[in-house]
Amino acid sequence: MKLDDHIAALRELGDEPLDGSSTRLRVRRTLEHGHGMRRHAGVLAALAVLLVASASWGFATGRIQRWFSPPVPSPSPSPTPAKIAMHEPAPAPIVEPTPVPAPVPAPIVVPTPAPTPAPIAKSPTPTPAPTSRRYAKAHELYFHDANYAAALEAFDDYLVHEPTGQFVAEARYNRALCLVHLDQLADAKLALQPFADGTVLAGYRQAEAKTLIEKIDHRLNGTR
Amino acid sequence: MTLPMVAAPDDDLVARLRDGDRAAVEQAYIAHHAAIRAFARRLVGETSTAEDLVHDTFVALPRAIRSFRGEASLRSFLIGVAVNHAKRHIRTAVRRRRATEKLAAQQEVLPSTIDATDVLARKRLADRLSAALDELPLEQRVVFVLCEAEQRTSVEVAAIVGAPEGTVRTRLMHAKRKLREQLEDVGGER
Repeated sequence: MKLDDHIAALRELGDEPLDGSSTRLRVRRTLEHGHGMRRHAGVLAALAVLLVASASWGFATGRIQRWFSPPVPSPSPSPTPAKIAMHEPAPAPIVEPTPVPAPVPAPIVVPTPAPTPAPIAKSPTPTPAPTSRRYAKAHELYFHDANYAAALEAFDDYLVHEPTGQFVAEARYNRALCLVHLDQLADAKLALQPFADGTVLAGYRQAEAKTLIEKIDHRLNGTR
Repeated sequence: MTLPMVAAPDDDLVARLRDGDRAAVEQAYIAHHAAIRAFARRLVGETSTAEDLVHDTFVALPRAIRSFRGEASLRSFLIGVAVNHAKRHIRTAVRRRRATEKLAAQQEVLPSTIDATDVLARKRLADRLSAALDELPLEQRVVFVLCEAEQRTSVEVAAIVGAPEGTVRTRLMHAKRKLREQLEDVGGER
Protein backbone atom coordinates (compact mmCIF):
# COMPACT_ATOMS: atom_id res chain seq x y z
CA MET A 1 0.00 0.00 0.00
CA LYS A 2 1.21 3.49 -0.80
CA LEU A 3 1.62 6.24 1.74
CA ASP A 4 -1.21 8.13 0.01
CA ASP A 5 -3.64 5.32 0.78
CA HIS A 6 -2.70 5.47 4.42
CA ILE A 7 -3.08 9.24 4.44
CA ALA A 8 -6.53 8.98 2.89
CA ALA A 9 -7.52 6.53 5.59
CA LEU A 10 -6.17 8.83 8.28
CA ARG A 11 -8.10 11.73 6.77
CA GLU A 12 -11.30 9.73 7.01
CA LEU A 13 -10.56 8.96 10.61
CA GLY A 14 -10.97 12.63 11.44
CA ASP A 15 -14.15 12.91 9.42
CA GLU A 16 -16.06 10.49 11.64
CA PRO A 17 -19.00 12.41 13.07
CA LEU A 18 -18.96 12.87 16.81
CA ASP A 19 -21.27 15.26 18.61
CA GLY A 20 -18.74 16.15 21.30
CA SER A 21 -21.42 17.00 23.86
CA SER A 22 -19.76 15.00 26.63
CA THR A 23 -16.46 16.78 26.10
CA ARG A 24 -18.31 20.09 26.04
CA LEU A 25 -19.77 19.25 29.44
CA ARG A 26 -16.32 18.27 30.70
CA VAL A 27 -14.85 21.55 29.52
CA ARG A 28 -17.60 23.48 31.29
CA ARG A 29 -17.10 21.58 34.54
CA THR A 30 -13.34 21.92 34.42
CA LEU A 31 -13.58 25.65 33.88
CA GLU A 32 -16.04 26.03 36.76
CA HIS A 33 -13.87 23.90 39.00
CA GLY A 34 -10.77 25.76 37.86
CA HIS A 35 -12.42 29.04 38.78
CA GLY A 36 -13.02 27.75 42.30
CA MET A 37 -9.46 26.47 42.49
CA ARG A 38 -8.13 29.87 41.46
CA ARG A 39 -10.17 31.46 44.23
CA HIS A 40 -8.67 29.01 46.73
CA ALA A 41 -5.24 29.64 45.30
CA GLY A 42 -5.77 33.36 45.94
CA VAL A 43 -6.57 32.72 49.59
CA LEU A 44 -3.60 30.37 49.93
CA ALA A 45 -1.33 32.93 48.31
CA ALA A 46 -2.52 35.58 50.77
CA LEU A 47 -1.84 33.21 53.67
CA ALA A 48 1.60 32.44 52.29
CA VAL A 49 2.41 36.13 52.07
CA LEU A 50 1.23 36.57 55.65
CA LEU A 51 3.39 33.68 56.79
CA VAL A 52 6.46 35.01 55.02
CA ALA A 53 5.86 38.48 56.45
CA SER A 54 5.46 37.05 59.96
CA ALA A 55 8.61 34.99 59.63
CA SER A 56 10.54 38.01 58.37
CA TRP A 57 9.27 40.06 61.25
CA GLY A 58 10.19 37.27 63.65
CA PHE A 59 13.73 37.11 62.29
CA ALA A 60 14.11 40.86 62.18
CA THR A 61 13.06 41.22 65.80
CA GLY A 62 15.04 38.19 66.94
CA ARG A 63 12.04 36.34 68.33
CA ILE A 64 12.46 33.31 66.13
CA GLN A 65 16.15 32.96 66.92
CA ARG A 66 15.30 33.17 70.62
CA TRP A 67 12.79 30.37 70.27
CA PHE A 68 15.31 28.06 68.68
CA SER A 69 18.39 28.87 70.69
CA PRO A 70 19.08 28.35 74.39
CA PRO A 71 18.96 31.48 76.52
CA VAL A 72 22.27 33.22 76.63
CA PRO A 73 23.14 35.03 79.79
CA SER A 74 23.30 38.58 78.74
CA PRO A 75 25.57 41.19 80.04
CA SER A 76 23.47 43.20 82.40
CA PRO A 77 23.19 46.80 81.48
CA SER A 78 23.62 47.75 85.07
CA PRO A 79 24.20 45.89 88.27
CA THR A 80 21.29 45.25 90.51
CA PRO A 81 21.27 47.72 93.32
CA ALA A 82 22.48 46.45 96.60
CA LYS A 83 19.19 45.69 98.18
CA ILE A 84 20.02 42.01 97.94
CA ALA A 85 23.54 40.71 97.95
CA MET A 86 24.81 39.21 94.75
CA HIS A 87 27.21 36.41 93.83
CA GLU A 88 28.09 35.31 97.32
CA PRO A 89 28.47 31.70 98.24
CA ALA A 90 25.65 30.15 100.16
CA PRO A 91 26.23 31.00 103.77
CA ALA A 92 26.80 34.69 103.30
CA PRO A 93 24.26 36.86 105.06
CA ILE A 94 21.68 38.82 103.17
CA VAL A 95 22.21 42.50 103.10
CA GLU A 96 18.76 43.92 103.22
CA PRO A 97 17.34 47.11 104.57
CA THR A 98 14.23 45.37 105.76
CA PRO A 99 14.27 43.29 108.90
CA VAL A 100 15.07 39.70 108.25
CA PRO A 101 13.32 36.89 110.12
CA ALA A 102 15.26 35.38 112.94
CA PRO A 103 16.59 32.24 111.31
CA VAL A 104 19.22 33.44 108.94
CA PRO A 105 17.96 32.74 105.48
CA ALA A 106 20.12 31.76 102.62
CA PRO A 107 21.00 34.66 100.43
CA ILE A 108 18.84 35.25 97.44
CA VAL A 109 21.08 36.10 94.61
CA VAL A 110 19.11 38.01 92.12
CA PRO A 111 20.55 36.94 88.83
CA THR A 112 21.14 39.05 85.88
CA PRO A 113 17.90 40.57 84.78
CA ALA A 114 16.35 39.48 81.57
CA PRO A 115 18.19 40.66 78.53
CA THR A 116 16.62 43.54 76.93
CA PRO A 117 16.58 43.62 73.22
CA ALA A 118 19.23 46.33 73.25
CA PRO A 119 19.32 49.21 75.60
CA ILE A 120 16.15 50.50 74.17
CA ALA A 121 16.21 54.09 75.23
CA LYS A 122 19.88 54.62 74.45
CA SER A 123 20.42 52.33 71.56
CA PRO A 124 22.44 53.49 68.62
CA THR A 125 20.27 51.19 66.57
CA PRO A 126 17.08 52.47 65.03
CA THR A 127 14.51 54.16 67.21
CA PRO A 128 12.55 51.70 69.29
CA ALA A 129 9.22 50.77 67.90
CA PRO A 130 6.24 52.45 69.54
CA THR A 131 5.19 49.06 70.89
CA SER A 132 8.31 48.91 73.09
CA ARG A 133 7.98 52.36 74.70
CA ARG A 134 6.25 50.96 77.76
CA TYR A 135 8.94 48.34 78.09
CA ALA A 136 11.61 51.01 77.71
CA LYS A 137 10.07 52.95 80.57
CA ALA A 138 9.99 49.87 82.81
CA HIS A 139 13.52 49.04 81.84
CA GLU A 140 14.65 52.53 82.77
CA LEU A 141 12.91 52.36 86.12
CA TYR A 142 14.45 49.00 86.91
CA PHE A 143 18.00 49.44 85.72
CA HIS A 144 18.69 53.10 86.06
CA ASP A 145 16.39 54.29 88.81
CA ALA A 146 16.37 51.04 90.79
CA ASN A 147 12.82 51.94 91.59
CA TYR A 148 11.45 48.40 91.80
CA ALA A 149 7.95 49.36 92.86
CA ALA A 150 7.61 51.72 89.91
CA ALA A 151 9.33 49.24 87.63
CA LEU A 152 6.88 46.55 88.74
CA GLU A 153 3.99 48.80 87.85
CA ALA A 154 5.59 49.66 84.56
CA PHE A 155 6.20 46.03 83.62
CA ASP A 156 2.59 45.25 84.58
CA ASP A 157 1.46 48.15 82.46
CA TYR A 158 3.45 46.82 79.52
CA LEU A 159 2.06 43.31 79.97
CA VAL A 160 -1.51 44.58 80.21
CA HIS A 161 -1.30 46.83 77.19
CA GLU A 162 0.93 44.70 75.04
CA PRO A 163 0.15 41.13 76.02
CA THR A 164 1.56 39.85 72.76
CA GLY A 165 4.38 42.35 72.62
CA GLN A 166 7.92 41.67 71.62
CA PHE A 167 9.32 41.66 75.17
CA VAL A 168 6.63 39.82 77.07
CA ALA A 169 8.97 37.10 78.31
CA GLU A 170 11.57 39.61 79.45
CA ALA A 171 8.92 41.76 81.12
CA ARG A 172 7.51 38.78 82.98
CA TYR A 173 10.94 37.72 84.18
CA ASN A 174 11.98 41.23 85.20
CA ARG A 175 8.66 41.68 86.94
CA ALA A 176 9.44 38.58 89.00
CA LEU A 177 12.82 40.06 89.89
CA CYS A 178 11.09 43.26 90.98
CA LEU A 179 8.98 41.16 93.33
CA VAL A 180 12.14 39.58 94.73
CA HIS A 181 13.62 43.02 95.26
CA LEU A 182 10.42 44.13 96.94
CA ASP A 183 10.60 41.03 99.10
CA GLN A 184 7.25 39.80 97.88
CA LEU A 185 8.70 36.35 97.73
CA ALA A 186 5.50 34.29 97.47
CA ASP A 187 4.39 36.35 94.48
CA ALA A 188 7.88 36.24 93.08
CA LYS A 189 7.86 32.46 93.31
CA LEU A 190 4.53 32.29 91.53
CA ALA A 191 5.84 34.59 88.82
CA LEU A 192 9.04 32.58 88.39
CA GLN A 193 7.42 29.16 88.37
CA PRO A 194 6.52 29.12 84.65
CA PHE A 195 10.14 29.99 83.84
CA ALA A 196 11.42 27.24 86.13
CA ASP A 197 8.99 24.82 84.49
CA GLY A 198 10.40 25.73 81.12
CA THR A 199 7.05 26.77 79.73
CA VAL A 200 8.13 30.26 78.75
CA LEU A 201 9.73 30.40 75.32
CA ALA A 202 10.86 26.80 75.58
CA GLY A 203 13.13 27.13 78.60
CA TYR A 204 13.85 30.83 78.68
CA ARG A 205 15.86 31.63 81.90
CA GLN A 206 14.85 28.24 83.25
CA ALA A 207 18.00 27.43 85.22
CA GLU A 208 18.13 30.86 86.85
CA ALA A 209 14.45 30.75 87.74
CA LYS A 210 14.93 27.35 89.37
CA THR A 211 17.83 28.63 91.43
CA LEU A 212 15.84 31.66 92.49
CA ILE A 213 12.86 29.56 93.50
CA GLU A 214 15.09 27.28 95.55
CA LYS A 215 16.45 30.28 97.38
CA ILE A 216 12.99 31.77 97.85
CA ASP A 217 11.81 28.43 99.27
CA HIS A 218 14.80 28.45 101.53
CA ARG A 219 13.91 31.90 102.73
CA LEU A 220 10.22 31.17 103.11
CA ASN A 221 10.81 27.95 104.98
CA GLY A 222 13.55 29.29 107.18
CA THR A 223 17.14 28.20 107.40
CA ARG A 224 17.91 24.55 106.94
CA MET B 1 -10.65 18.34 0.39
CA THR B 2 -9.29 21.36 2.19
CA LEU B 3 -10.77 22.29 5.51
CA PRO B 4 -12.10 25.81 5.24
CA MET B 5 -10.39 28.47 7.27
CA VAL B 6 -13.00 30.20 9.36
CA ALA B 7 -13.78 33.54 7.91
CA ALA B 8 -16.50 34.31 10.40
CA PRO B 9 -15.96 37.43 12.44
CA ASP B 10 -14.09 36.16 15.50
CA ASP B 11 -13.37 39.61 16.88
CA ASP B 12 -16.35 39.81 19.18
CA LEU B 13 -15.80 36.26 20.40
CA VAL B 14 -12.12 36.90 20.97
CA ALA B 15 -12.90 40.06 22.89
CA ARG B 16 -15.33 38.18 25.12
CA LEU B 17 -12.80 35.40 25.65
CA ARG B 18 -10.26 37.99 26.69
CA ASP B 19 -12.78 39.39 29.16
CA GLY B 20 -13.03 35.96 30.75
CA ASP B 21 -16.57 35.33 29.57
CA ARG B 22 -17.16 31.63 30.09
CA ALA B 23 -20.12 31.60 27.72
CA ALA B 24 -17.66 32.67 25.03
CA VAL B 25 -15.68 29.47 25.60
CA GLU B 26 -18.87 27.50 24.98
CA GLN B 27 -19.50 29.49 21.84
CA ALA B 28 -15.97 28.84 20.64
CA TYR B 29 -16.45 25.17 21.41
CA ILE B 30 -19.66 24.97 19.39
CA ALA B 31 -18.05 26.77 16.46
CA HIS B 32 -14.73 24.93 16.36
CA HIS B 33 -14.87 21.67 18.25
CA ALA B 34 -15.43 19.56 15.14
CA ALA B 35 -12.30 20.89 13.46
CA ILE B 36 -10.21 20.55 16.61
CA ARG B 37 -11.53 17.04 17.19
CA ALA B 38 -10.76 16.00 13.60
CA PHE B 39 -7.22 17.28 13.95
CA ALA B 40 -6.82 15.61 17.34
CA ARG B 41 -8.10 12.29 15.98
CA ARG B 42 -5.65 12.41 13.11
CA LEU B 43 -2.79 13.51 15.29
CA VAL B 44 -3.13 11.01 18.13
CA GLY B 45 -4.95 8.31 16.16
CA GLU B 46 -7.29 7.40 18.95
CA THR B 47 -10.75 8.60 19.91
CA SER B 48 -10.63 8.84 23.71
CA THR B 49 -7.21 10.50 23.82
CA ALA B 50 -8.33 12.88 21.10
CA GLU B 51 -11.31 13.85 23.27
CA ASP B 52 -8.89 14.58 26.11
CA LEU B 53 -6.89 16.80 23.81
CA VAL B 54 -10.02 18.65 22.70
CA HIS B 55 -10.94 19.13 26.35
CA ASP B 56 -7.51 20.49 27.26
CA THR B 57 -7.50 22.81 24.28
CA PHE B 58 -10.75 24.53 25.24
CA VAL B 59 -9.90 24.58 28.92
CA ALA B 60 -6.64 26.32 28.05
CA LEU B 61 -8.37 28.78 25.75
CA PRO B 62 -9.25 31.53 28.30
CA ARG B 63 -5.60 31.80 29.28
CA ALA B 64 -4.12 31.15 25.86
CA ILE B 65 -6.26 33.81 24.18
CA ARG B 66 -4.04 36.50 25.74
CA SER B 67 -1.38 35.60 23.21
CA PHE B 68 -3.76 35.69 20.26
CA ARG B 69 -2.63 38.46 17.89
CA GLY B 70 -5.34 38.03 15.28
CA GLU B 71 -2.84 37.16 12.55
CA ALA B 72 -4.59 33.85 11.92
CA SER B 73 -8.15 32.70 12.42
CA LEU B 74 -9.36 31.64 15.85
CA ARG B 75 -9.62 28.08 14.52
CA SER B 76 -5.96 28.04 13.48
CA PHE B 77 -5.08 29.51 16.82
CA LEU B 78 -7.03 26.74 18.57
CA ILE B 79 -5.19 24.13 16.56
CA GLY B 80 -1.96 25.75 17.71
CA VAL B 81 -3.18 25.44 21.30
CA ALA B 82 -3.96 21.80 20.66
CA VAL B 83 -0.47 21.27 19.25
CA ASN B 84 1.00 22.77 22.41
CA HIS B 85 -0.97 20.31 24.53
CA ALA B 86 -0.49 17.32 22.25
CA LYS B 87 2.76 15.89 23.55
CA ARG B 88 1.33 14.26 26.68
CA HIS B 89 -1.69 12.92 24.82
CA ILE B 90 0.41 11.46 22.06
CA ARG B 91 2.47 9.62 24.67
CA THR B 92 -0.72 8.22 26.16
CA ALA B 93 -2.02 7.17 22.76
CA VAL B 94 1.29 5.53 21.87
CA ARG B 95 1.22 3.48 25.08
CA ARG B 96 -2.33 2.35 24.42
CA ARG B 97 -1.60 1.56 20.81
CA ARG B 98 1.41 -0.54 21.70
CA ALA B 99 -0.58 -2.44 24.29
CA THR B 100 -3.39 -3.16 21.84
CA GLU B 101 -0.90 -4.03 19.10
CA LYS B 102 0.49 -6.75 21.33
CA LEU B 103 -2.96 -8.06 21.94
CA ALA B 104 -3.83 -7.84 18.24
CA ALA B 105 -0.67 -9.74 17.32
CA GLN B 106 -1.71 -12.56 19.64
CA GLN B 107 -5.23 -12.61 18.19
CA GLU B 108 -4.05 -12.61 14.58
CA VAL B 109 -2.86 -16.13 15.06
CA LEU B 110 -6.51 -17.04 14.89
CA PRO B 111 -7.87 -17.07 11.31
CA SER B 112 -11.31 -15.83 12.34
CA THR B 113 -10.13 -12.22 12.75
CA ILE B 114 -9.93 -11.57 8.98
CA ASP B 115 -12.52 -9.02 7.96
CA ALA B 116 -12.73 -7.93 4.40
CA THR B 117 -15.08 -4.99 4.83
CA ASP B 118 -13.82 -1.77 3.35
CA VAL B 119 -14.36 0.25 6.50
CA LEU B 120 -12.27 -2.05 8.62
CA ALA B 121 -9.56 -2.21 6.01
CA ARG B 122 -9.32 1.56 5.91
CA LYS B 123 -9.35 1.67 9.69
CA ARG B 124 -6.39 -0.68 9.67
CA LEU B 125 -4.55 1.54 7.23
CA ALA B 126 -5.16 4.54 9.45
CA ASP B 127 -4.01 2.59 12.50
CA ARG B 128 -0.89 1.52 10.69
CA LEU B 129 -0.09 5.10 9.78
CA SER B 130 -0.74 6.22 13.36
CA ALA B 131 1.66 3.56 14.60
CA ALA B 132 4.23 4.76 12.09
CA LEU B 133 3.68 8.35 13.20
CA ASP B 134 4.53 7.24 16.74
CA GLU B 135 8.11 6.82 15.59
CA LEU B 136 8.41 10.43 14.39
CA PRO B 137 9.47 13.42 16.43
CA LEU B 138 6.47 15.48 17.56
CA GLU B 139 7.29 18.41 15.26
CA GLN B 140 7.40 16.21 12.16
CA ARG B 141 4.24 14.40 13.21
CA VAL B 142 2.31 17.64 13.67
CA VAL B 143 3.47 19.05 10.35
CA PHE B 144 2.66 15.82 8.53
CA VAL B 145 -0.88 15.67 9.94
CA LEU B 146 -1.54 19.33 9.24
CA CYS B 147 -0.14 19.26 5.73
CA GLU B 148 -1.14 15.82 4.51
CA ALA B 149 -4.17 14.73 6.50
CA GLU B 150 -5.65 18.20 6.92
CA GLN B 151 -4.30 19.47 3.60
CA ARG B 152 -3.29 22.84 4.90
CA THR B 153 -0.82 25.02 3.09
CA SER B 154 2.68 25.34 4.42
CA VAL B 155 1.98 29.03 5.13
CA GLU B 156 -0.95 28.11 7.36
CA VAL B 157 0.99 25.36 9.07
CA ALA B 158 3.90 27.71 9.65
CA ALA B 159 1.51 30.11 11.40
CA ILE B 160 0.02 27.34 13.51
CA VAL B 161 3.28 25.79 14.69
CA GLY B 162 5.13 29.09 14.87
CA ALA B 163 7.98 28.00 12.61
CA PRO B 164 9.27 29.37 9.27
CA GLU B 165 7.67 27.98 6.16
CA GLY B 166 10.95 26.43 5.03
CA THR B 167 11.22 24.55 8.31
CA VAL B 168 7.70 23.24 7.83
CA ARG B 169 8.58 21.92 4.38
CA THR B 170 11.74 20.30 5.66
CA ARG B 171 9.89 18.63 8.51
CA LEU B 172 7.27 17.36 6.10
CA MET B 173 9.88 15.96 3.75
CA HIS B 174 11.65 14.08 6.55
CA ALA B 175 8.35 12.82 7.92
CA LYS B 176 7.22 11.45 4.58
CA ARG B 177 10.53 9.77 3.90
CA LYS B 178 10.52 8.03 7.28
CA LEU B 179 6.89 7.02 6.95
CA ARG B 180 7.46 5.52 3.50
CA GLU B 181 10.32 3.47 4.88
CA GLN B 182 8.29 2.25 7.81
CA LEU B 183 5.11 1.50 5.92
CA GLU B 184 6.97 -0.33 3.17
CA ASP B 185 8.65 -2.45 5.83
CA VAL B 186 5.34 -3.24 7.43
CA GLY B 187 3.72 -3.86 4.07
CA GLY B 188 6.50 -6.21 3.07
CA GLU B 189 6.00 -8.28 6.15
CA ARG B 190 2.32 -8.77 5.64
